[in-house]
Amino acid sequence: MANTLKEFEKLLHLALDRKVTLHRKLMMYLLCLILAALGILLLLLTAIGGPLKAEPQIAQAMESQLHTTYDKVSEEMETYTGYSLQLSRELERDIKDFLDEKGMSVSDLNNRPELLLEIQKMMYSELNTTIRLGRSSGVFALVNATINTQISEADQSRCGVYLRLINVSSNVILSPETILFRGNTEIARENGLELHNRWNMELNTEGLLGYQELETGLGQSESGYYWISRMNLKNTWEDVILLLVPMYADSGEFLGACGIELNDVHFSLEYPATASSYGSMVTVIAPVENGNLRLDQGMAGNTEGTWLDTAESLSIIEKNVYYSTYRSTKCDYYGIQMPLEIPGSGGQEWAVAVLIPRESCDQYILRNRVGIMGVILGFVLIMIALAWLLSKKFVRPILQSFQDIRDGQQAGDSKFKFAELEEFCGWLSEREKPPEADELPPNMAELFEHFARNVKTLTNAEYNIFRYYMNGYEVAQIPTEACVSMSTVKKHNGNIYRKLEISSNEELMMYLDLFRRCDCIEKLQLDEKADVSEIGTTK
Amino acid sequence: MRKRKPWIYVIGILVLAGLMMLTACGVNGGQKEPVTLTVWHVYGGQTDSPLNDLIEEFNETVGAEEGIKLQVTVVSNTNNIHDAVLRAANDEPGATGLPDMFISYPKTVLAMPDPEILVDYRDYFSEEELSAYIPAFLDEGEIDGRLVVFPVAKSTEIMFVDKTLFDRFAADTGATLEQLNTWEGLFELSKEYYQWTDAQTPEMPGDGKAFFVHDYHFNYFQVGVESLGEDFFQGNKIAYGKAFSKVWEPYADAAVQGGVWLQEGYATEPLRIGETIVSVASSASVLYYEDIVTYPDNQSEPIEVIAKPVPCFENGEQLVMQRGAGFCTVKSTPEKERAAAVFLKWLTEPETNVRFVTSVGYMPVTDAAFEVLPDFIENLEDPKYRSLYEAFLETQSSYEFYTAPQLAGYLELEQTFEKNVRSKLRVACSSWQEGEEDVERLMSEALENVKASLPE
Repeated sequence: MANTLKEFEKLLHLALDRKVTLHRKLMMYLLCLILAALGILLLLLTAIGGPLKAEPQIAQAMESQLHTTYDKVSEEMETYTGYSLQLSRELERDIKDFLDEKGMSVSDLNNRPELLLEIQKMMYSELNTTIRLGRSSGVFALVNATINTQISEADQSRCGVYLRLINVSSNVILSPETILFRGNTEIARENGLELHNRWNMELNTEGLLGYQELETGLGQSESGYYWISRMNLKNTWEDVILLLVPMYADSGEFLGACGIELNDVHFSLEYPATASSYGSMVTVIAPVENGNLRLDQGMAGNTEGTWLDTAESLSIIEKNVYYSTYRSTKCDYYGIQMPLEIPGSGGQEWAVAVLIPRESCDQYILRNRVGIMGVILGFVLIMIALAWLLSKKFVRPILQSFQDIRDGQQAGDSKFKFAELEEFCGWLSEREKPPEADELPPNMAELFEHFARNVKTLTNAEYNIFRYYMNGYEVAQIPTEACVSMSTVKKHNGNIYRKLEISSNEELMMYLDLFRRCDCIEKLQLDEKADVSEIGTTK
Repeated sequence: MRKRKPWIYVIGILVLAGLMMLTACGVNGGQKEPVTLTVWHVYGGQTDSPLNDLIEEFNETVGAEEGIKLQVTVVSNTNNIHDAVLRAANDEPGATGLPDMFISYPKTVLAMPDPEILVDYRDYFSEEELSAYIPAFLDEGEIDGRLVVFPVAKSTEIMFVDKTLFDRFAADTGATLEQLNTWEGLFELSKEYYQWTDAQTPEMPGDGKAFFVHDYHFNYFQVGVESLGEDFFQGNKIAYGKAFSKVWEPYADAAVQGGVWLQEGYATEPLRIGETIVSVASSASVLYYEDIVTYPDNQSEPIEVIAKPVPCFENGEQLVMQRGAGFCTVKSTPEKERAAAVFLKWLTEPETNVRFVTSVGYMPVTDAAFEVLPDFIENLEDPKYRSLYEAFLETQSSYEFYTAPQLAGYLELEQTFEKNVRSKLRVACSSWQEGEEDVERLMSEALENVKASLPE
């Protein structure tokens, strides 16, 4: 590990030691700015709910939960249906046999307590088996007759047995304890059952939706059974939904009904709330009416972590591509639902739904968005800081290089960070290097040659005057020194200027000065004119 | 002028961004979502529980403010909760997990494999807060120096009389309610009542009805013996002394001769169907007595139920069993434990506590609540409840309260005794109904059978 780190450090040093070109630095600087700009764009898009949405994730989690729940609910409903149909077949046969044996119809059982007790005993046996096997919270069966037709409400009072689990939370144990909710006390005494705190002798059919239609033969479910939406068991704290299966004699006479109870506590225990990052996911099954989820008529799983009130209806107030928004009087919920294939009373359609409190979900979305924005913001800030650092690092070595140049730094000293600056510095150094002793710059040599050739075209008299200039005399001194008139000097000057291709005395003086500085003045001295060489040697 | 340093701005922006992110993280969903507590309780049994209504009120008020939601998943009786708690605590197959809070007697806690799983309420209640509660009630919930059963309501045993049917019996026989002041009087009436009811249907001999039902026969013997100045227990066993015989004789005499209800189940059941007319049960059972009685032909008759203090023996002390379980909280997260304490504090505030106890037939648990109790009693509309609280006040003023000891084998002894004393006397009663006339012998055999059936 240490070796790897060292190697990495070496590589880093090598990379840093490499001379970066100005072009590359500028590219990096611009790249940082572009990335920062892209970051800002993404930030704005995220702020207005653009890409990186949390909604699809939430919908995916809800769908997964819904499918799992749907399978479980369907399976449970099928199990209940299976047990109820089996129960109805058994009871139907028992009651028919009993009536055939007695040669009676079901209506003949009215006011015959001893016969009704016998039927209840048969019912108890079947119900006791069903409640132990069927995992339901209660089972019931009633025959379409009453023990006493003289009492008030006799038309709604039907003889039967209703067994319930004492403790639904332990219903999976092999011998669940049951309690007699409805039925003759003799049944309880014989079988060691407690009476329910709100026991009554007979079942009241008022709460059994559709029962009266079955009695009168007006209503029959296509499937032969139906689910009754949630109702409160009178004077108890429990709500139930009931699966009701009618029973008929061969003659078509309505014998009574039986079924299974699913209570809210049982459902709540079977379907616990699922904790998720988006909030608690609650399962509900409920009838659907005008697009509303009638939770007040359905069942809710455990509502832990939510304020879901099961006593009210949920209306869909908004639908997006991912999920719907459900509204109750207290809170809103996000959720999705699927039709549940169970026959409801009066053709009611049911659905299974998964709900998450909107508030917690929105908080998750907000947290998620702010989190993403925070990351992007951090990225943008880093890019801006990097650009700032690059710009600073970009300028500083240039200034340093200028300083180095001023200080006489030479190319190849490895102080220059940029190849271009090193190259420029090299060029300057090359330019400033003094020429060799006998060497003139090429253009100067040519100029000197041309001037010297022109000097050779001068006549002796003209050269004589020119020599005075070479020796540093002024125009005014020459007539006296050369013993000629000023007009003669002027005439020769004119010829000299013409032949040397200059226009003034100042230009002549400049040329001579250049020749002198370059130690080339001897190139202007002519041998055949040596007789005048001594002229003007001193000033 | 000082030169501005650009990196300060960069750091400033970074700090701002960091703060934004921290703020976003600080908006935690957990603060909004309620801390949910599951509850198993006994206040209402299978009826429409008044505590459930109060819990709903709590959820909508204090709970909504504090982010606490209580969810009732079981309302049953202490026996069922006892079984369910022990099944859950022992991780028995098929048992659901323990709830966050449940109602329990100390005997249930003592039977748990590890009572350390329960919260010690002293961690959440200050000494000053606890000083508001009646010390004896707190003492009852203390196990191994830890306050694990918190009192929210206390009951005592009360006698309930179906006055409608009693008056009918009294009109024929001259029986009086005053005879019910002593056990001796009560058991005499029991025998008389059986004969009287049997005589109502001359065509069906032997169909007399029991007069009296006791919820806990074990309590009758325990309190009876103690009231006569003897210890009921000798170590972990029953001391069969002279006082026990004195308690046994009138009771067994009436039971063998059909005057006492000996079937399983609670005392409310036979009163509900007119099979008995007098019961001794927890004051809390007032909730389960309905104002009608239903006969075998499904005819119902409205009745008047009145309450009286429990009878005592002629030469005995006026002693009565103090009952009433308390709330246990299972250790979990500090938030849940704190939420449970918040709920219990709310439920035992004087006004709330009195509202609660008067709806379920209990006594409050703080001195402050007792002070406001009389005002509440005056406003009770149901005559059955008014009668109950009159009996309550009479009991409080003239009786001593007895609390069952915390013995390791108490529960087993109680259950075995309860089951066997009923069944052995049922057998004896059947023999008597079938023509056996030697009641003394039947009583003696039944007692020996009971003794033989109890754990060594």
